Amino acid sequence: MNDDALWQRVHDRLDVRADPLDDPEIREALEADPERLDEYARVAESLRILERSAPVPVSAPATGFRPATSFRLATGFGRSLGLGSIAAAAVFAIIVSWPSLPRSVPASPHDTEVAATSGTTISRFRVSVATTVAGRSHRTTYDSATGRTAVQIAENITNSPRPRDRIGPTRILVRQQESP
Amino acid sequence: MELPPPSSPAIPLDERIAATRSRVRAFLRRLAPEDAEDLSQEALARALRYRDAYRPGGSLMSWMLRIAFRVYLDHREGERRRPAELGERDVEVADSQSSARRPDAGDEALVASRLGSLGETERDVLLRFHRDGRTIREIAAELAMPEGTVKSHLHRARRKLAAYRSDEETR
Repeated sequence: MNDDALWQRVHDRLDVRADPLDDPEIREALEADPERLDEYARVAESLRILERSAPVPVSAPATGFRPATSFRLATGFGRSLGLGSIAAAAVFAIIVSWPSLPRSVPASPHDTEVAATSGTTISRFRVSVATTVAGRSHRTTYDSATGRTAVQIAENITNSPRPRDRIGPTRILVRQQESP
Repeated sequence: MELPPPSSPAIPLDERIAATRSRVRAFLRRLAPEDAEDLSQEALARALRYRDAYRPGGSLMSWMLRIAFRVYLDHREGERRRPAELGERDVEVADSQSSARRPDAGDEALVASRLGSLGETERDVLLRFHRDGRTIREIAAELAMPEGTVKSHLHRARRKLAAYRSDEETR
């Protein structure tokens, strides 16, 4: 296989987010020429770093908010970034629509005061909504005491470019957002 | 007295194999950064074990890189089997793991230097696809260009990344 044919095959695999090394002919062609091996390794490294540097805001959880630390992960999941984006959009929609959802607690400090003077007890509540799409676990939690919404995204990542291999140590990205 | 170059047949093969260690490790670090150290040890051990298979006159480095590549493929297969053995499970997430897999400053500087070799559109398309997770169709819509053109930019960008060697890498 010449260089152009090899790279076309590699591109075809990468374009559908498949691992080029699952193709025996690609493996064979790479092995036949160490220069190609070096080139392939350089691309694999660059793409891996790019994929891991996806611009997800990261911040420490605020005081009073205790993030859940357990996520249920399906086996054989693929970290499809496309589907992950859809999941992220769904979580974002929850955050945006949150203020319009019915609430059982006061929405302002004034309301709290009124409730207190009338002898009503306002209990703190926390609502957690969890979704798992394409290997990413999203957990949106609203804490009435702090008035904050937090989104946790957990995903399994290994160094393998093959999506279904990406079961390994999990990282959590915590995005903190103030409720209006 | 002038010493023979490291690749000289005058030097025992074992020493010449050992001298490839840093290059082998650098190669494996690109494929499996977290396991590069172990894999390079395994590659050297395997090369020494099968030293008789090396044909004098051939490129020792090429032979070593092939061995390193096979070691990597074996490792990859092993990693792939492991999740199936574990099955579905709850994963307790440790805070200490949260930053371990993020690229460090060195990684990002390396990629930034490689991205500098790309044209503006190539870089844009590459980032949208590989970093932001967009599909080719989405990128085509966003940039108002045919999907085939997006692919061309993407493929050209990858080829440039493959061919690019920074000053540090060429030393």
